[in-house]
Amino acid sequence: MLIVFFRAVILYIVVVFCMRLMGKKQLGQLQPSEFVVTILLSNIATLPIEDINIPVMMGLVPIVTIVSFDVFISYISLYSKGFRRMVCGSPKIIINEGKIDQSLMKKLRFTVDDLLESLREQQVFDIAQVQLAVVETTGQLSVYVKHSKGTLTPEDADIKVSDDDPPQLIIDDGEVLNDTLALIGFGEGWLKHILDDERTALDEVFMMTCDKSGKYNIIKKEK
Amino acid sequence: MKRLYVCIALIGAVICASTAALVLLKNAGAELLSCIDECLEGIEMKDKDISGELEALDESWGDYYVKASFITRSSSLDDVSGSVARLRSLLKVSPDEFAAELNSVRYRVELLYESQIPHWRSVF
Repeated sequence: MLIVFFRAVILYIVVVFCMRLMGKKQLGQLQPSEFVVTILLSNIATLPIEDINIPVMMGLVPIVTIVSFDVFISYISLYSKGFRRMVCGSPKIIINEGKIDQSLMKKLRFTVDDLLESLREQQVFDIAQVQLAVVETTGQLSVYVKHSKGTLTPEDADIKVSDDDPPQLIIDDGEVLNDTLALIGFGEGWLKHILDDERTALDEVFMMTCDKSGKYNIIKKEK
Repeated sequence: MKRLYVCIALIGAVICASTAALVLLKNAGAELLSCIDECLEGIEMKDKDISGELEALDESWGDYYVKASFITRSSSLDDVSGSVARLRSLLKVSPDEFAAELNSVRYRVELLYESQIPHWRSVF
């Protein structure tokens, strides 16, 4: 039992390290090669955990090798467009100028249901609204809605608004996040002043957000 | 670029560790095989006491087991352990069976090393 426990801990650490090594992209939408690597990793890692007859090295070596090769391949893909197309494929335009490419749909084995489902995921419920839709290499559909059917923006209405950054979290469970505080251009002195004004101690704050203009929001801890 | 260097280092480490494991297994195997040869020579000289050689063989096998268990399935090593443990009793009952078991241990140790070498047939 203890052997299995230690093996699980070792392989957990190695797999987490390997996923970090593969980069953030791995955690979001998967490219075909990354999808294969993820499936392989999950399978290989479980074998030496379950079967104590198999040396743990027999799990570590293929994991490290597969992840390293995936990183090599992603670097080669970075510099070679042809190689990138071979490994990841290329995005396909499935709706162009509002017209569905039916032959491409057949080629991609994309049914009408798949198309409508993907559109709904993009908050598009009427296909007539779509000007352009692209099937990305990850299999996800990107949609560009017709201008005439799109949402009215302040720019369309000729309303002047400032493009401000969203508010940032500056206190997390009573702890000041100095990096974020500096990012929005304030210091601890300013924060202390605000907290004094609000008659709130730092350890009473559950979360506090603030933007560059100094507009803040404090949520106190529940007692 | 940092990731690329880490991966190159990891692949290098894997190749080095695999090669080192093969060399380690070969050296440990050579020591074990020489112990087996000494036992076989001793058994051919009918009246020689080979308990010392058997002791050395036991020790050598223990050492080999620890090293080999890092790179090969322990179930295949346990089979050989069973054969090594039987040797003493076989020596008392029948020297011929003792020699046969010893040769079987020898064969399996050679096979363990051979199975770790990346031949075309083993890779594919």
